[in-house]
Amino acid sequence: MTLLTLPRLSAPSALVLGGALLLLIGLAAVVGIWFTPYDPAAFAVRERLQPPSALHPFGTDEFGRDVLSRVLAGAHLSLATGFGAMAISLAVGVPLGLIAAFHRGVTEEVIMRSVDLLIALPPVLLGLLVLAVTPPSLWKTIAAVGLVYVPIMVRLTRAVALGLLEEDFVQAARARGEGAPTILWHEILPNAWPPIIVECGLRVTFAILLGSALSFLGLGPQPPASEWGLMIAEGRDFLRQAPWVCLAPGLSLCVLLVCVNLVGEGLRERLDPQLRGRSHA
Amino acid sequence: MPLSRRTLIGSSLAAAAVVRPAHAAGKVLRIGISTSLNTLDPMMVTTGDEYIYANLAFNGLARMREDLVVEPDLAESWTYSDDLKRWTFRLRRGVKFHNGEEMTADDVVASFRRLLDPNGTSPVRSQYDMVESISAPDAGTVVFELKIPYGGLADILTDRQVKIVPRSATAQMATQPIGTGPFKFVSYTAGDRLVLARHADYYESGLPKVEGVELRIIPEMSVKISALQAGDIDILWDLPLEQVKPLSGRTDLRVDSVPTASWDGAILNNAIPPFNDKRVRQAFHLAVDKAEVVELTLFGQGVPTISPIPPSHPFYAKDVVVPKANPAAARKLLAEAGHPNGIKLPMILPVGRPVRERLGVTLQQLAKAGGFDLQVQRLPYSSFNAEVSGKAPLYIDGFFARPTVDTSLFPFLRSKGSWNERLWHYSDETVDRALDAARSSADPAVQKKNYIDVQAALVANPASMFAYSVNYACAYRKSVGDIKTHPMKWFDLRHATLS
Repeated sequence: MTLLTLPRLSAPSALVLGGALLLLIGLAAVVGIWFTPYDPAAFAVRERLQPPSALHPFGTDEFGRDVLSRVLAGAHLSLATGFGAMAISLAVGVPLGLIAAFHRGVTEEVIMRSVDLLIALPPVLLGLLVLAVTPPSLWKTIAAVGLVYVPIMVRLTRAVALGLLEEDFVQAARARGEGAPTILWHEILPNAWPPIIVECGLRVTFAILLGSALSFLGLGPQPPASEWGLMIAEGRDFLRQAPWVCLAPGLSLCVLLVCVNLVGEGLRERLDPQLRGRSHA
Repeated sequence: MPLSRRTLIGSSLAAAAVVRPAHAAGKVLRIGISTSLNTLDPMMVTTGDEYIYANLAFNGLARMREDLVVEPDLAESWTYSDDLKRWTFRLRRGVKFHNGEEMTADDVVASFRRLLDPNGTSPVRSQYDMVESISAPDAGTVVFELKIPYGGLADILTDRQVKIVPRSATAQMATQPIGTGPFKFVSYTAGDRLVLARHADYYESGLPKVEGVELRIIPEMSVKISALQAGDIDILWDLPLEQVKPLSGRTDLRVDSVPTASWDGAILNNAIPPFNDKRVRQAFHLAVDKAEVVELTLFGQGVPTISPIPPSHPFYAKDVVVPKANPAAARKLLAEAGHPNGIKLPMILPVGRPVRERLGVTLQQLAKAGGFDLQVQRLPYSSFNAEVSGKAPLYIDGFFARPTVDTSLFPFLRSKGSWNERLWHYSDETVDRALDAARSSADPAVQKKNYIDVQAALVANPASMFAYSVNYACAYRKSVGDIKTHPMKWFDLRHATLS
């Protein structure tokens, strides 16, 4: 019965589609750390700048390296930048936001004005500032991108928490005489999660993009690593002769961003109470 | 008017370059260059784009032909004393500046005093340290008194910054420059173009043949190539070497790639570990095959070299045996030097210099077999002077061709030489002796013998890795005639024609 009614051919929800694709990319990225069709760093003078073929589905670059292998070997770098940076901005931003909401006055002013200061700087510039002073590496890129998104997390968490602090159940907890840590941890945080998660899902896209941009500028993982932004920077000189050297990492980045965005949108539809009623009509 | 699709696409890509009707001015040569000029004062020029302008609008006492032979320019002839410390130049008479004034010995003296002014700002002043004084006994004679015997004075007077300007107009050199060159300055718009017009009173009658020259500033290479194919520019200056083969097949273009004395290499700091040990420097040279480096980095458009003297030069040491790449021998040398497990160290690459970045990636991969585990770090080229040179044990850099062998070697390899002190602190007795002997002789045979000694000593006791002499390529539309590609990367357009 159910089997027969199932083929209503409704489009899979954004969350399912994006999630499945993202899982696939994640799997490919993890496998790509250890196994790729060719050695992503090995030169092959006679096979330089070959167009895509059965042997090299994404073609070869200026050193004769297999572009598909390089894209696979570099995938985990973009994912690590995006999700790593989000983890950092959560770990730093959420506690700061909660503290700012709870301790009105001097503490709040110090936190929020520092956040204003950071937000005033354009993201790429802030990333550059962090990275330009020391030799670049992957974890520094992650930290720099994470720092860029801390202020947004602080503001969001504080705004949500401020609303919750007026709620009756929080007032009740205060009346019970519970301390600040207990109230924040047990009363505020569980109710503040949904909007924070939604924000995260959408910000990961920007974080991945910013990581690649910094890497394009030379401030990310270093050659012969095949971070996608770096691959685009290196392939730029051959754009006319061998567009695939740039296109392969560029399109891979596109697909990844679309997937992450689908997941982010899906999460928003599920968790945002104002949208929940509408989208699943 | 028929408008082909290619022209349409090309010109829309090159939109910035074709704002005004291209052929209105008649026979004007349009050259696509890369960056805006930072100065119009010939004594201040430091970039390839600026050198082109300096050599079109000005003359020096001597000039260098495309085959690197030095010939008289504003000086008709010169003589030197037996001790090589007193040089007398007889000037060409009747040469007119662009403002109509006649060029005399006083102008020459004033031009050099300006360049050598200790409070002045010319970046090349130190290259003329050997000059004690300059004087003008009469309107047609200039005398240089030198501090040391120097056999190459006439050669270095072909250089890009030693141009003769009118003594009455030195104050306006930065805004309305005046020279004696075949083309005179008309206007300059940063980011767009520099316009030059034919100098009607040029001293060689009948020259130049074209009405003017425009240097179009087009930073993006793909836009420049489209502009060339569409006929919006006539010459594409400094074609990237990977484009030489693809563009050579086109029937409407002529692509010319010539050897130069410009070189790139791995700078090994001889003053700090690990390269303070000669065996480690030797091991680095044994680890990689330079011919393979040329193929990978330059797409074959260059030649492996021993020193900054290019293999195309008569002084190149053809008979000196350079050991073949041998990674096993390299690892053995490293072990003898106390690195049985090889060496792991950072290698810094300049961001935004694609050829040198490629050289770094190539060396990183090829040197692995010889026991060198190099960790690449890309840094902006602008930070090299402050943070990298003299401090990092290993980085990638390169140097533009200089007009003489002495100026390409002496500052770099002589103990306490100006560049030697900044780059690698190399010191070798044989090299010092040979360099001193070569510059204190005006006899090419003596110079050649000594420069070959220098190269042999460099093989035995390497300073840094001079990886290769780079080719320089230009692409011309077939309508352009009588231009030879100049290894010094400037243009001599006196005989150029446009049909």
